[in-house]
Amino acid sequence: MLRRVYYFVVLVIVIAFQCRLEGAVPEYVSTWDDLDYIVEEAYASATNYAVTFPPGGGFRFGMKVPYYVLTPGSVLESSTNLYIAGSNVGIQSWNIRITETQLIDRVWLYEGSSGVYFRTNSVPVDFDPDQWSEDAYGEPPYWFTETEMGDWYADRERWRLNYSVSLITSNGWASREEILRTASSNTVASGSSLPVLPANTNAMGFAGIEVSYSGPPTLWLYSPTNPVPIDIFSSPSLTPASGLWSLVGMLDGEITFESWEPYSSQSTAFYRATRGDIDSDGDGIADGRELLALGTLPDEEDSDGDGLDDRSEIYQYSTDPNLRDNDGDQIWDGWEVANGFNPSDPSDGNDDPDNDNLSNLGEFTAGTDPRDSDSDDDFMPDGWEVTNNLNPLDLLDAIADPDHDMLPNSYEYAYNLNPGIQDSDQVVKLKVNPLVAITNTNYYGSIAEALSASVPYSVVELAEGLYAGMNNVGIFMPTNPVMLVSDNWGMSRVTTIEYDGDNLGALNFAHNQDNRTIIRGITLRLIEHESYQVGFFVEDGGLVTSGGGASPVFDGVTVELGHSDVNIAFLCRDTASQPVIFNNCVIRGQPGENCNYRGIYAIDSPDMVIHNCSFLNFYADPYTYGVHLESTPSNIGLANDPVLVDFTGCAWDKTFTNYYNTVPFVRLENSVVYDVSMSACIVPSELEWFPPDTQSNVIITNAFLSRGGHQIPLSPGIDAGLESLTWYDFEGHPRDAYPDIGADEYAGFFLGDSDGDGISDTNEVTIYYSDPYDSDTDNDTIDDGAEVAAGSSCIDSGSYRVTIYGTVDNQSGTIAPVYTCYSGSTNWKLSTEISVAADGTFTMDLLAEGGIVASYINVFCDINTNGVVDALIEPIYSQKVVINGEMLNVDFLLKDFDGDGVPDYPEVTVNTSPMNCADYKITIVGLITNETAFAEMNLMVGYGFYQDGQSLIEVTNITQNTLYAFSNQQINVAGPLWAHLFDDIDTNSMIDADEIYISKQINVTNLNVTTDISISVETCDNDDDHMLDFWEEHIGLSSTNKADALENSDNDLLYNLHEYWLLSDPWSTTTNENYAIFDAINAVDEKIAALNPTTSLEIFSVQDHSNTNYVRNTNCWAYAYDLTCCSPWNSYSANLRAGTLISPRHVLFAAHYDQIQVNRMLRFVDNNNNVIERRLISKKRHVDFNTSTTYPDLTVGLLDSDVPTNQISFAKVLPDNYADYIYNGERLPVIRLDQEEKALVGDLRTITRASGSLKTVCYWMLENQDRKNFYESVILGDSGNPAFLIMQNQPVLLTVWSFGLGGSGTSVSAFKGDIEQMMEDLGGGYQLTEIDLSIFSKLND
Amino acid sequence: MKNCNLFLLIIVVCFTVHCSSHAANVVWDSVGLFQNDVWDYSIGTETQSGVGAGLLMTLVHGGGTFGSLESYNYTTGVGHIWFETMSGTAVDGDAVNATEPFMNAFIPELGTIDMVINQIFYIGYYVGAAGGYNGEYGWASLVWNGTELDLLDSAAETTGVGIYAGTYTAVPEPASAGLLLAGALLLFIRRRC
Repeated sequence: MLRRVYYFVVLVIVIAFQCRLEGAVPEYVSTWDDLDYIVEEAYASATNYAVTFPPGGGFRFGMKVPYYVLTPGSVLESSTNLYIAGSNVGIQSWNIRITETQLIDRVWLYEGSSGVYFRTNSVPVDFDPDQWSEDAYGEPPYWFTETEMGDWYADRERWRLNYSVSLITSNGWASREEILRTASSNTVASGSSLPVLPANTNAMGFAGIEVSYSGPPTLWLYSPTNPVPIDIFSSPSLTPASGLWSLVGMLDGEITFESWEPYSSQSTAFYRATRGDIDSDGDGIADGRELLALGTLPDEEDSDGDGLDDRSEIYQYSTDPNLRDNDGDQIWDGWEVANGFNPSDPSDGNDDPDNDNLSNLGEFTAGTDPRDSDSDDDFMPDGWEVTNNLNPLDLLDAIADPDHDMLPNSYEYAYNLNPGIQDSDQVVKLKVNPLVAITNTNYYGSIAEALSASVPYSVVELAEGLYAGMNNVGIFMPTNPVMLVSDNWGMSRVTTIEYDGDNLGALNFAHNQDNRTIIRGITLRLIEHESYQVGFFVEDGGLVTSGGGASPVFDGVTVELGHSDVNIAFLCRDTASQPVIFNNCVIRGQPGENCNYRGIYAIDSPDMVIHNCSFLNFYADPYTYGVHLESTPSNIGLANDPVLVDFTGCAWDKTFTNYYNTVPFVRLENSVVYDVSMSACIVPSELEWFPPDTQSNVIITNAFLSRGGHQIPLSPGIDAGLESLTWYDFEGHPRDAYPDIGADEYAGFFLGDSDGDGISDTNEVTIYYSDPYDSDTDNDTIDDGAEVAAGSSCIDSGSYRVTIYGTVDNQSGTIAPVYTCYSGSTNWKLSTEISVAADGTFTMDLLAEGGIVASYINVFCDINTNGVVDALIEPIYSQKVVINGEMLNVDFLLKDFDGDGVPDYPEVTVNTSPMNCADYKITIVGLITNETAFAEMNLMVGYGFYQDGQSLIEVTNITQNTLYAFSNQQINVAGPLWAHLFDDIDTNSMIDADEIYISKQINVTNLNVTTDISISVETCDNDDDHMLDFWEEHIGLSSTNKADALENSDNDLLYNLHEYWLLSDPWSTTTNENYAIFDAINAVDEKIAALNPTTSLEIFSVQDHSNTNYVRNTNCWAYAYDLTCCSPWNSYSANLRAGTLISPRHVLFAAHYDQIQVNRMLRFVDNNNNVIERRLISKKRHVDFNTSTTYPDLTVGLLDSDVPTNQISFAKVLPDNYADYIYNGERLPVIRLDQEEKALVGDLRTITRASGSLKTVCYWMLENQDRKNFYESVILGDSGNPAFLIMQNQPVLLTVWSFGLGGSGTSVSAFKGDIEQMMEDLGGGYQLTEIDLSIFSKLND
Repeated sequence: MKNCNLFLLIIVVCFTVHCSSHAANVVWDSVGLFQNDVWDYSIGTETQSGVGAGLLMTLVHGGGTFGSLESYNYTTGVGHIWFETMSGTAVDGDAVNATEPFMNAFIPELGTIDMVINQIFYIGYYVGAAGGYNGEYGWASLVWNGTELDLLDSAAETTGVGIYAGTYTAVPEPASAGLLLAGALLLFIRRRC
């Protein structure tokens, strides 16, 4: 509303100093120069006048009557606190207005009585009272509140202002307006004798007015320092208007104003005294004096520009106002005065009062505070910063890293390193690696352990992996500065902390954590919790306190929000001395989740620096904000006012436009103000005061804007929105420049392609509105890049293009044409049908707009070539496809649709359904072979649906080694078919309970199926006794009794097992001893019969190794056998291992126990006790010997010369066809030597076991009591000793011991070729020698 | 003061010479594990002198998360004993005598080790002559994932003083431990000087 000023009577500009007029005695000055001197002296003695001007504090109205004291900077609370003149002064009404004139163009007026404010122009020379009209200037854009006005006053540079206090009457506006108009025009209105207004309102005046109850008021001038009134009107020596001072109005007892305001009423009085000279620069020295007397600049308050105004230089410090450095110490006077140094003392330039290794001169040059060793409070002394080319006035360079060694400058200082050299390798990090920590104490097993062990400036580095659990989350950061980084200084970004708790954050901070606490390169994943979950709790220990906030640095940190009710990535509460810094952080919600998210939630927080951060995937319900800035009503966190928040290079993705209540940031200012500035940001929705771009609905603001509408003209970002954006890192370098502190070197947001979908981050955000961190923004399983390339939308799941390449392998039995189509189901869709090429390939190019259309790819073979699908005979093969990229490969095999084994086309040809697995025909043929010698069976073959042979469908008699056939069988059951071969003893064509059968599943693959059945011990031995069940049942043994294999019912030499080998009658004595097995059994059993093992085990009765005296034990049961191949010497001591001659020059050892040294002597003893010695000249382990398996446990040694074969025999080995004579040797007795050279006896289990490794294995001796008496287990030290079969009275080597108990070792028979190769490699000219078994009858003869 | 320093220097030199002459020797990856069959494994080691020692064992899945390892045979060359131990525990003569063997080739005796899925367990071993001299002590860490047995790490100390399971740290010789105590005493003396 327009408010008019009704009354104007300007009285006097009065500023009085430290005096009360009551009782003061006027002192007269004689000249105007004296007055000037008094005034200038007052200025000269003034200190801090900018605040307390006039010196001494406070305005005082120069009124004799009660006065009002207005303290500069105080608040004009209301008019009632001002003096309202009343009857006591005889003036009807007094209003007080305070005017302030800036150098620019504004005057603010306050009308105390009504409490209303308004604004108008100043009162310059050309002041036009009409401009007081609101009509002319309109409604002011903003009204100061009283508090703001007071603050505004306090913040202004007082000497730039001209204060005037006007005492204004309340009536007679029209006449007062006339007076003002007249005064402004410097002309006296007709009929008026009123004085004119001064030509410049910037002039100064010092005057006091004394209003008397009884007489006319008196105008006084006062000395500020000498509060003695000077009645210039009464100074007879002064000639008004003759000097520098002019009397513009006067009142004495003789002059009245009755013509317009009669004095008698005392309603109005007007006086004004002003100095006639002008002080253009407001430095308190008149222009003329500056020009004429001082030589200073009248329009420059600080003529030499040294920071100290002319008046202070002249009157206070006695320095040269035209010389910046008065004392020649290269420091300007103003800086010296401002910092408490003497501008006339040249020696203080070298002082260093704050002991920061930077002299005052250095501090002056650097612009730092000479009394603060760390001017920018960044934990690095000013001197160190200057020495290392850092900025001592930049708080944020504490976390900068100019040498790119990943160690911030503040840490470089702490470690006494050079911030310009890559030397971070000298920092010993506390490494956390739970896996390695198990075995290596140099690593910590959890984050909590490492943090607990940290000291100031420790670097805690987390190895790649997932960290969770109580020792890794819900923990407090230590009170000392610490860096917590992922692997490789945080650069690898492969560390994830997973948090599923509440109450505390995953990591919690305390008030004494400042910018030296750095979290870098870590991903924090919040797992769903029911209600409230916080990632980083940035305040004093997670507690609500007053002013106890923390200010850590988050550098390259990613927070993946969960889907609890409320999810907060960073919660920052309570103020701190430094800003919380976020650099290159990413805060992500989850696609499709409707959760309440807050990326950064600040409550009464410290200032915040948020650079290069991204807020993504905020799919959310109401009250979900990227950044939430809030001050509590009582500001319990003691936040600064305002809190400064700097967004630079940040981006909010498109999800911030998806939902009404999902906004980039919100401010809830209940007390202090969050003063937000943004530059170079991408914001996809309308903020409070930043309008979006009308074309893209995206805000791209590079301008520096601050609350209140102030726009900084030199903001680097002005108009840059019209150009291509250049993204800068924390230090202001382009993102693709050298790696700087923290994450920007690996994040590469905007310039890089964070999600690897082929679209740059910048383009994702600015062009396609897709998620730069999600390769498939619309979740349609096609990467954004592929969609863009294909021309479909990457933010619309219903829009995609995909090319499907397919192949059809048609094995259905016909070469008829094949067609393919795509559809949403397994039904044929003719509109999408295409032909499959002759080579079986096809290609589909699909563009979907509005929905998934290719869930299935269908193929059919047009068997009857009529061009359409015939439902009864032409099955449709379908595959469900998942669209996952630009190109898909789908391969089909057309063969047997119903899975009954018969391909489609053959089924059609025999009129069965290719789509019904219980409808097919086959012909079953097969060969029955008997791999055993047993043939006395009534063999039948049949087939059915049961493995146990019941309910046979067809049966036919068969002889062994002939074909059987079941032709053109119609099968109406889905399921496996079994063929059965059985001995139909009772000839009833059924498998009876006591009849043996062999079952084999019929593998249906076509109309004609072949199923051969073989009779062998492997296929027909239910009791696993190694005897054919057919034979067992036929001969009267049990096919379910394993033990009968070792029974010897007829008490001949043979177990039943061996009877089976011969197919002899186990119930009557078998006497044909021309079989090798008789030879082998007799060789042992006949010798040990009736012998006492106490005296008949040792081969030698005397073994005197020292005296080379060996005497064979004639009582040894094996005395008759030539065992001269065994060296007793080798088992004598620990270094001489057992060896067995396998040729006249070669010896066999066990490799795992072969450390007999080359050049050692081996000793053999002939049957006449003569000793033959040979030297070992070389040896060779089997090339595949493996310590962990002790296999192949063979070492061959070469002797220096042949042993005399007429004295010493070498061991022979079995021929390759040994199975023809002794089968696998099972249960044949063997002679087994040990380290004591005993001739022990045991049973052979198998000559060559094929399972796992090729070994000869012996049984624990449990069955044969005679042999058992001569049996001992293989024990420690026996390794390398041999085991032999005795055949033709000769030892036939089976193995040398590797393992204990019953004994086992690598099979010599299985490794004959390898042993011979080793022998050949060693030289010597010999190979193995086989025992001749051909003199025996073969088992099947 | 000078005499103190000289005395301390002499002791330090002596200590260094002594330690170098009795330095323990630790070798890594001293053990091999081999799967012979689905449930059949062999584990073995080879001493610095080239002697192999190993054992055969069967893995038994006891149901749920539990299983066991049963030894069933062993090499019969050099003597060896295998037993279950814990990370950080000394594998030395005392441990061999005090621990139930998984396999003791000297007696011989076979045994069982209980396992929990994905829980690392340790086997200590001694290879050498009876009585624990001229042998080597070592350990192997293994883990069973419910299907297969895996060897994670192993190490051996070759001078016979022993080794701490799960580490590459030899058990200090008694003489060395005594010198360490002497060093501490000297440090005390020097401070007093």
